[in-house]
Amino acid sequence: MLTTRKLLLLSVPALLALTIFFLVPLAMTFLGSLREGGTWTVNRYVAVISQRSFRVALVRSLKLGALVTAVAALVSYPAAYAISKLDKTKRTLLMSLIILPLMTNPVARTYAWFVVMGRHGIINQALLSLGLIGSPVKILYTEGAIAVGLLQLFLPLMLLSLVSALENVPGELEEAARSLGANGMRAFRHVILPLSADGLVIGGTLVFTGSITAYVTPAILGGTRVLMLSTLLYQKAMTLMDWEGATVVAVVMLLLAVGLNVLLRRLRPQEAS
Amino acid sequence: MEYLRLARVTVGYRKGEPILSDFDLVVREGELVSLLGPSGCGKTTTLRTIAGFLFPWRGKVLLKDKDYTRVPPHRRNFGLVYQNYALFPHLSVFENVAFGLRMRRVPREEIRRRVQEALRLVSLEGFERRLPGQLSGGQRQRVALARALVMRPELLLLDEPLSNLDAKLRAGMRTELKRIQQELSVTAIYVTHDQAEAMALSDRVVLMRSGRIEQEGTPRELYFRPATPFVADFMGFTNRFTATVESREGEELVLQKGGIRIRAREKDLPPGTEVTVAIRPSSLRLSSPGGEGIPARLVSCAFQGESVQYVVETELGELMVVHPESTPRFSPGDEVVVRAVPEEVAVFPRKEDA
Amino acid sequence: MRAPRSALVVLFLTLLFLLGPFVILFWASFGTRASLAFPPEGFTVYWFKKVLGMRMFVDSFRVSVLLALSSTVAALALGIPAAYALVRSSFPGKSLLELFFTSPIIVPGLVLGFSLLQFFTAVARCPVASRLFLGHMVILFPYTVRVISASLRNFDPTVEEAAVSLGAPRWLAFFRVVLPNLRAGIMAAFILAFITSFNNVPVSLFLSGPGVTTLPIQMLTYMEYYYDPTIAALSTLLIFFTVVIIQLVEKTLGLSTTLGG
Repeated sequence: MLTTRKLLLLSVPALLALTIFFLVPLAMTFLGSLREGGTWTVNRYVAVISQRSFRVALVRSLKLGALVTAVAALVSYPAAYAISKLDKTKRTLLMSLIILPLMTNPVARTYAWFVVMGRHGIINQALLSLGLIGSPVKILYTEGAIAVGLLQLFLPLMLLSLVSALENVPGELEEAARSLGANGMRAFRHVILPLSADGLVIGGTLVFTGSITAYVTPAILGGTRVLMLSTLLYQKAMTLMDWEGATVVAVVMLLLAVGLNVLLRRLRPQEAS
Repeated sequence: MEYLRLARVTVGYRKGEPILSDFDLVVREGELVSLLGPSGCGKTTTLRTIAGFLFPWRGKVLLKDKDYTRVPPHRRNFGLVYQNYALFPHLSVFENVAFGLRMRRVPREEIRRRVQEALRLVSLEGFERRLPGQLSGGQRQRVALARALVMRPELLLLDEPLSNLDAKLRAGMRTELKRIQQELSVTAIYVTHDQAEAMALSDRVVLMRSGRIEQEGTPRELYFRPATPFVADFMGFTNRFTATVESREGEELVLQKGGIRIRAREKDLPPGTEVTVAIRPSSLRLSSPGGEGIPARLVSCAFQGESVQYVVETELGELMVVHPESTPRFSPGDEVVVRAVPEEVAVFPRKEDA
Repeated sequence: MRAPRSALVVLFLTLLFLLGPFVILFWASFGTRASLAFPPEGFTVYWFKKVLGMRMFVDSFRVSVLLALSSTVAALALGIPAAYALVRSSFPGKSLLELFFTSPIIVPGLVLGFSLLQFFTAVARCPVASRLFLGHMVILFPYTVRVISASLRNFDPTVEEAAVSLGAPRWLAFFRVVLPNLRAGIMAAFILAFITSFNNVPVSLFLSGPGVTTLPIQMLTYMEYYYDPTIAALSTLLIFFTVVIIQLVEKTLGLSTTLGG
């Protein structure tokens, strides 16, 4: 007879693997950030926080994260709404088109923006030929470039989340609202938004967390001048050999990501995923 | 003669919450025993313990005097038939039925022979290549039966196998099942909540309630001589009221309540005993006033096709009466008289029981 | 009820935004000039030929494929029993275990990569290839567990029991009855894990080393010095590669599902 004990045995290999190669390394990093010269101390944190580069990177990451999330939500709602109203075949086709970017290489994806935003890229060429500017504008290596790249990266996540949430809102409710006199915007505010808020929260968390921890996009589109937490971490660890500082940055990123997730669970008493 | 025995079995799903406590059950060879009862009475738990998917905390499971208590389920030669058929969706009908034989490493030729035989038994010859997804509910159930029977099991365990079929199909399958069981002389244990089904199929019925056996016996015994008010209720003795024993006249007990007298052919009880009386709607008769019986007023009548159901108001409370006729003889509001057949009145001394 | 015109317009623009860059990339990989101008002049497949001949890309491609394959298989080997344990049992603390199994997704890849590098340098020295393998296995695990769990939940446990009652010990019942019916789930998990591993940057970034680098990392390194359409061509090739993989796995594991019913 299959006892609970025997069943649990099946999960032991995974437990072991995760503990050794996931839990332990992270614990090491976390604990390591609090130690200096054999004693427990927060000196490392103080040192890093006093660095301007860190503060700038932190603020930038949070700022861009919030911006990208807000724009993603704003754009995704109408788009997701439109998708949810389509018939099955069209919907499946669109969903696969939206998922496709997620399956491609992030380096490739971000590189495409290079072509668009470069000095000789599309935007500059277009603006030049239209006579709106005299010489190429610097678009790359700015916060805006990173924001656009992040948006393209994470928009599908928000879309997927919202489409799924909107599909669960029974069409009759909207119609009922209309019949009671609520026009488009009001029906949205009072009926659709509250009922699909769940998807908004999930999608928002995914986009925000992703944005502040992404590496490829800030690395390619921001370069070494416009640093976010992720690129700062890499720089400290691999270029500056400031291992101690890198550890602190890593812990900050970790706490942000985990903290956001905990917040998410609190906001949503009903589990799903 | 004694084939299967559960001896003082205590078992449950969660530690400290036993479903069966000190439970005893005996099944004789070749008989079909029904475990009957409402949901939660422990009948499925009993079946799963016999099958080996639950090990008893205390007590033993014995088959032909061999101790099976701790034998793992795949080593017991018991055939299981489930309510939702549990066919292997990725295997053909042939492969489904052959599965157990393959586990036993039965030679190929013999497998072919026995599977054909089993399919013929359930009237499904020619269906070998089909997949479960291509079969109807009734066909799937027959495959499930064939799969269990091809193993020549020492015990056939059926868990509400007909519940998912529609009424008409159910009746037909019931007869089939009984025929096959008798033809093969397989000892079978049948779990159901449907008393009519249990009556039709069983050699013996075990009525369970909250993990205990309320009454066991032949279908007729439970039907005509329920041992407790609970059994009576389950067997359709819908009308119930309390009364007191007044006297005894010959073979009959005279009961009285509020000036009304009822006669019952029951065992002797001392005068003054408080009792619960239970009567089937079909054991009562209505007639025009002036005859012998309890005065009543007709509240409603409902046409049921082959019978009419009357509800009457009496000094004993509301009573339901069923007459085997198609046209009501009375109308609501009429004054009538209700009579009961003494042999069909059940009497239970009152304990702290309902 | 159809969606309002404005919503459809937003949808269209969104799709343009999401997919446009790919089209541009595709187009740019055929340009003749050695810089990334747009619109590209001329038409040539020179860059494609060049990429396919470059040692560093061919080698790192091989590394990426082998790494993805091995870590996906490992993640499945860990994930399938773990999923079975989670779905078929109930005990206090089960949700905690589920959370633990899902946690690698929550942790930023960069942080994990960084921590693993420290771990492997200070505690458990082992070859670069093994480091990559172990790191990827850990991040792929939540995906396999989730997908297989979903598949298992849809599978009726009484069918397993029926197999056991017919004489199959539990493990045999699993292989003969449960696994064949999990094909669709395993295929989905395989694709998801393979692609996640192949495209991974954060973990590979820290764990790659001399001689053993994954393709995305190699691309990043190249981009630090050169801006020509080489990367564009490579990116285009990679996108098609992804599509091919998905189709391939679907054909091999998928068709048999349809045939087996």
